[in-house]
Formats: sequence, structure tokens, C-alpha cells
Amino acid sequence: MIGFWLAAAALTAVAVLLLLRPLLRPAAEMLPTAAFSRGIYTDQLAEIERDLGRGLLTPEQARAARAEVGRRLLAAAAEADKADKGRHVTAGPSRKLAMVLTVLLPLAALGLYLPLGRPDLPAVPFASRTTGPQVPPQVLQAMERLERSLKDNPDNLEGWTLLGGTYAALGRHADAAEAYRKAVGLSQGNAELMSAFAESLTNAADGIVGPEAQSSFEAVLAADPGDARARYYLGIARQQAGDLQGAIERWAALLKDSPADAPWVEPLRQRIRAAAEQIGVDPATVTPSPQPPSPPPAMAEGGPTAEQMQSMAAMSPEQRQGAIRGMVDGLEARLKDNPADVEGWLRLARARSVLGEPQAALDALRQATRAAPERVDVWLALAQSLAPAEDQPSSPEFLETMRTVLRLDADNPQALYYLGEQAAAEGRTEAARDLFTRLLAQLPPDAPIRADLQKRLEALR
Amino acid sequence: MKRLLLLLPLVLFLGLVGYFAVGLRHDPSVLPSAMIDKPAPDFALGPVLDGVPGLSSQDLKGQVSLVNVFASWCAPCRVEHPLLTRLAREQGIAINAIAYKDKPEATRTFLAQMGNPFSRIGMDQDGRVAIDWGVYGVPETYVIDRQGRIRYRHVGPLMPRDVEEKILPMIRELSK
Amino acid sequence: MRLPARILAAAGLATLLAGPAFAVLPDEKLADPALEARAREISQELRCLVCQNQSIDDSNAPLARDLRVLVRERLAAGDSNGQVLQYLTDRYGDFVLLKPPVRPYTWVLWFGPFALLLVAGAGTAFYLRNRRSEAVQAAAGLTAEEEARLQALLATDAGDGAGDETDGERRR
Repeated sequence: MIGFWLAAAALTAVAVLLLLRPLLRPAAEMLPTAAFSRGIYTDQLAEIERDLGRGLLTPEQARAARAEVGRRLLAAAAEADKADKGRHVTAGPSRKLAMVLTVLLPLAALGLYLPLGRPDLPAVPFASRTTGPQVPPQVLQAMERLERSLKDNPDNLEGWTLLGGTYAALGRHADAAEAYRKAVGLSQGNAELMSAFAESLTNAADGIVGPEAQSSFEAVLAADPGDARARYYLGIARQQAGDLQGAIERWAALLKDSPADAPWVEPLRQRIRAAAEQIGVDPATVTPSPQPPSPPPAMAEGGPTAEQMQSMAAMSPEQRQGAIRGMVDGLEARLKDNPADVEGWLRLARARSVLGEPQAALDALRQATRAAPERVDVWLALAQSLAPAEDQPSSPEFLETMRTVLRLDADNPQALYYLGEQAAAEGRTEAARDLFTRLLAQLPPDAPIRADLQKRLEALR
Repeated sequence: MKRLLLLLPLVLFLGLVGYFAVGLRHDPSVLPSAMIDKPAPDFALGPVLDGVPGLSSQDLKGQVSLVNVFASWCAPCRVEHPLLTRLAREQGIAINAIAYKDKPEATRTFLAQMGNPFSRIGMDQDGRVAIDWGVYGVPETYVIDRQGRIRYRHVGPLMPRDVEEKILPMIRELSK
Repeated sequence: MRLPARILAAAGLATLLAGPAFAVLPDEKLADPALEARAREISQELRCLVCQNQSIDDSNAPLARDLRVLVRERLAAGDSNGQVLQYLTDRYGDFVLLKPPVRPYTWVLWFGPFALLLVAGAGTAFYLRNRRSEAVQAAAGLTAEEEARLQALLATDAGDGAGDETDGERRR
């Protein structure tokens, strides 16, 4: 690197010197053309005289030649006089010019090099290649399984939600929108799902907030007037419709309600600034100050938003991990003060398992069951985390959980199945038969597991 | 006088530099339209959407309107669509459309997704009418006066600034 | 100097070998070879408005194809070459023509070179006329007043002119 700079400096110096040489040469050395030609004409006059003397020219010719050269000499003399007067005047500026050049040339070279020529600048490709995200095969397999099971059982709200989220993460926005559309229908208009649906629609339309996405976001706002995602996108819709003023108003209102450390605050500010500049308004006058930061704001709204994801995408993997961990720890601290927040515990459990901390996830789920001992879904979530691997004995805690589930929901198929299996393993034939029979009554007539269960019931006889 | 003559090559050179600078800045995609201030060409295009009539040159007379040439396969058309929707719904501007070289089903899907801001849509499947309009790429938008003459042509997607600075003032002026 | 010449020659050869790219598709061609020849001739004069520096004859752009088909339809309908070109300039303006027509705004383009030639010729003529009048005046010899000034000048040069002369020598 140093070698390059030395070479560049040397080359620049050579260029400057080449320019300076003529500028700084002593003025006297620069012979004006007029004086130069004057010498030649004088010589020529002498020559004419000589030729006339030798008889090479007739007197007639010599007279004409002498007149022509003589007139030129007179003109040249007049010119030389003028140049003489000007000479001292021109000497000054050239020195100044030299100084200016010496300073400006290297500066200009640097000025061009730094923004345009450095090798560490990012490449400027004509179009950046659009390669999809690298998807691990397990994810694809899991997704296919999910798709198949949803074909058999299209009323599975959780399944559609999960599928929508997976598609969205893979960048298959149109598919994500369709999955979310089903989930919204099943949940009878859950605002969070509707918001995700509308965002997928928007992404599928290359970021255009189309009429359907717009009305969905409006419905989200009707249910939850504070939903940041819906407010943000509705601002974009106004911007795309050319109503920059309206867009700024919406974004400014959102910014005013947002905690200062919310991850969408900075992108929002940039949007406002760009739009304000476009309509010739001073951005400072339309950018309100956000709310004071509230700990921990990120998880308060129910999972990271698109903005959050965006700002996280810009981080390095370590930073991202750190940011996520920070958010999760914040959530846990808040839950310690408010242990009755079941949803909070569930969210914490999900986050912990995503972070690869199964024990912490379990603890969170146990806390959730303590906060809501009557909710079957919470117990089921705990059971799912405790579920034994294939061919492994069930843990006592798992069985206890399953018993609780069965107490709360006497028809729960999972509980019936696992408890039945446990009873069979312990040789309590009567109990096992009872549980399996109840399970069979719950299963739809075409469930694949039916035949298997029938067989086991026979065996228990 | 002689001194000034010596400067002449420099002056010529600077003149050329200026000329080229202007020429290079000139966006080659912005072409003059041969159709400005002429009546819109004679044409009649069939409908594509149920309940929305087709478009013919007769329909362009009697009111100031926009004619938007679009296609479902054209990405910039998607970009300008919300803007057209706002002009039609909120500013009450009559916007007619020519669906350019597209499958009717694709056009219908596009309008179902993006909404339909157009009062009339003519289906120009072979692009022949568009050639009569001097269209060379979608989207293009024309301002038509009450007499059915083309008064302004915008090539490429409409941007908020184009609308505020050109289209709306023009429509206001023509509607007087 | 030799290297660029060789490169130029190689580039020329390459273009020769490459030959023209044919964009006209078989299904567009007219059955009548005379009409088809006229269609090709017209197509080569028409600019592809999408790619701008190609004729529609060379271009693969869909619009170019539409225009080629249109040109053939007009010819088949009995239009003259001029009528076909007029049909298209009515719609797309002069820009559609690769060869610019003579219009007031293309005057600089068409007549500019001739104007430059004229100016240069006038300058040369002026210079030569001056030379000739100098020669004519020279034949009459120097006037008494000029002779006096010349003598005075030569007298001073005899004093310091030597310096000038050596300067002149050095410059050469």
C-alpha cells in the first residue's frame, strides 16, 4: 500500500514539474517571436545586399525584395517594442499560476482517486445478482412435510402461520401471502396475521402497496391503532400514490409515537427526509422527536417487525446474535417483574429455542404454565418441548404434563396417545385400552394412524 | 485584433465542449413526440374487463383526460399504478387506458391485484394502435384535451414530481 | 505507431468476418421478392426506437419487429417507399429516420461542414490577397519615410543586434 502511495506521489510530482518548467523559466530566456523574426529579417536584408552585389538579383528585384522584407522588419520591430513593455507584466502571473498548480494538481488527483479509484470500493455491478437465500435441506424437507399435512388438514391455523413465515423467510412472498391469507381466515381476522399477510402481499408486488394490502393494513389499524408496521406501510402507500405530504404526515405521527431506540426510527427518519426534500420542505420542520426509549421496546410489539429485521440484516452475524440476545434478555427481565404475562413467557420460550437454549426455553414454558395453569395450549407447548425422542421412555415431567392436559381437555388426542402408550408399557391393559378407544373416537375416519391403533387395541385384548 | 484571432481556436473548442456537454446530458430516451397538438389517431379497441367499456378515439372528445398505455408484464407500470389510482379516485381525473400487447387474462389479473383506476380500457393485443400513437415502450401517458387532441406525452412511469409539475397544471389549464 | 494500426486492421477484419446480423425472421418475409427488397431497404433507414442506434432491420426488439411487419403491410397495400416513411414519421417524428432529413433544426448538421469550408477558404483567400498586394507594393520600393525608419532601425541593430542574432542562432 505504501509502495503505491509513493509511486503515485512520484508520478504526480513528475506531472507537476513538467507543468512548472515552462512557467518558472526566467522570462528573459523566453525570446518573443517578434524579436526573433526581427533578427531573421535583418539577416535577409543583408543577404539581399550581398546577392545584389554578386549580380544574382537585378536592381529592380532587389528593390522589391528590400521593400517587402524592410516592411516586415518595421512591423516586427513595432511588435517587439510592445512585447518588451508587456514582458515584465506577464512574468508575474505565471509564478502565481505555478503555485496554484502545485497545490491543486495533487489535490485534484486525490479528489478523483478517493471516491472513484480505490480498490477497496464496492463493485458497481450493472445489476446485482439475485441469488435466493441458501436454504438448508432440512428446512425444505420440513416445509414439504408441512405442505403435505396442510393438504390433508387445511384447518390448521398454526400450520398455515408457520408455512407463511417460512415462505416469507425464503423470499417466496406470493406463496407466503396465500398461506397467511388462509391463516387470517382461520383466525377470523387476527390483526398480527393480517399485518403479516399484507406485508407479504406488498413484497410480492415488488414493494408496491396494492389495494388489497392497503385495505388489510387499514383493517389492522382499525383493530390496533398503534400497529407500527401497518402505519409504516400505509405511509408508503401514500408515497406511492404521489401524496408525499400525506406520507410524511403518517410517518411523522408514527415517529412521534415510537420509542427513540425502536429499530425503525432511523429508517423512518430517512424516509421522511427524502420525501420532504422531494417536495421542497425542510426535513427538520416535519420530523418530530420520538418518545423516550422504553426498555425493552423491541419485543413489546410482538416479535420483530420488518424494519427490525431489515436493520438486523445489515449487521454482522455476531452483532445480530448479540442484538437478538439483548432483546431476549430484556424480555426475560421484564417478565420477572410481571410473571403473569403468559404470552410473554411463550414468546421468551420461542426465542430461547431459536437461540439454541432448550433448557432456558423449558424454564420459560414452565413459568408460562404457572402463569396460566388452565390453558391447554400452554401445557401442550410445554409437552411438545418435553416430548421424548423416538424409542425413548417418556420423562415423568412429560407424563405429568400430559395428565394435566387430559384433565383440562379430556379429548386431547396427544395426551390420549402418549398416556395410552405409557399405560400399555406399564402393563395397565385396561387403562391403555380405555385411552386408545377414546383416542380412536377422536380421530377422523381417514386418519392414517387408525389402522395402527386398531392393531394395538387388538393386541391389548 | 491579432491577439483575439489567436484565441479563436480556444473559443471554438470551448463551444464544442459546451455543445457536447449539453448533448451528453440529454436523455436519449426522451424523444420528441410527432403527435403533440395533433388529434389522437383514429382507433377503436374492444374491452378487456367486465363492466369497463373499450376505448375509441370518439371517447376522447368532450373532456380533458389522460390516456395511459400499460401492460401487465411491465414493471414500471406497477410502480406508477398507485399514482394513477390516486389521480382517478382523489383528483377525479378521467383516465383511459390502452392495454399494450398483453394477454387479456394477464391484464385482468393485473387489474384485479392492483385495482382499476381506468374509466375505459381498450385491448391492443397486436400493438398496432400503440404504433399509431407513436408509442415505443410502456408505460406512456398522454394528456388529451376536450377536442381529443394530444397535448402532452410522458414516457416512462409517472413520478409524483411529473404529476405535480406537469400533468396536474396542464389538466387544470386545459379544464378552464 | 505501428501497434494501433495493426489493432485497427484486426478490428476491421473482425467486423468483416462477423458480417451483418440478420434480425428479420423468415415468417415476416413477403412472398414477392421485389416488395421484400423494398421492405429491407426501408427497414434499414428506420431507427429502432427502443435500441436507438440500430435500424429496425437489425434489431430484435419486439417493437422493431412490429414495425417491420407494418412496413411490409403498407407495401403490400400499395404504398410507395416515401409513403411508408411518411406514415412512420407522422407517428414517431423525424427521429425514426436514421438519415436525418433537411429541416431548419438540422441545418447545422447538413450545412455546418460546408460553412466551415467556406470560412476557411475565405481566410485563405484573404491571406493570399494580402501577400499579393504586399508584393505589388514592394515592386514600388520603400517610401522615403519607411527608408528612414529602416535605416534608423538597422543602425541601432548594428549596436545591439548581434545579441539578437546569437539568440536566433541558439533558438534554431
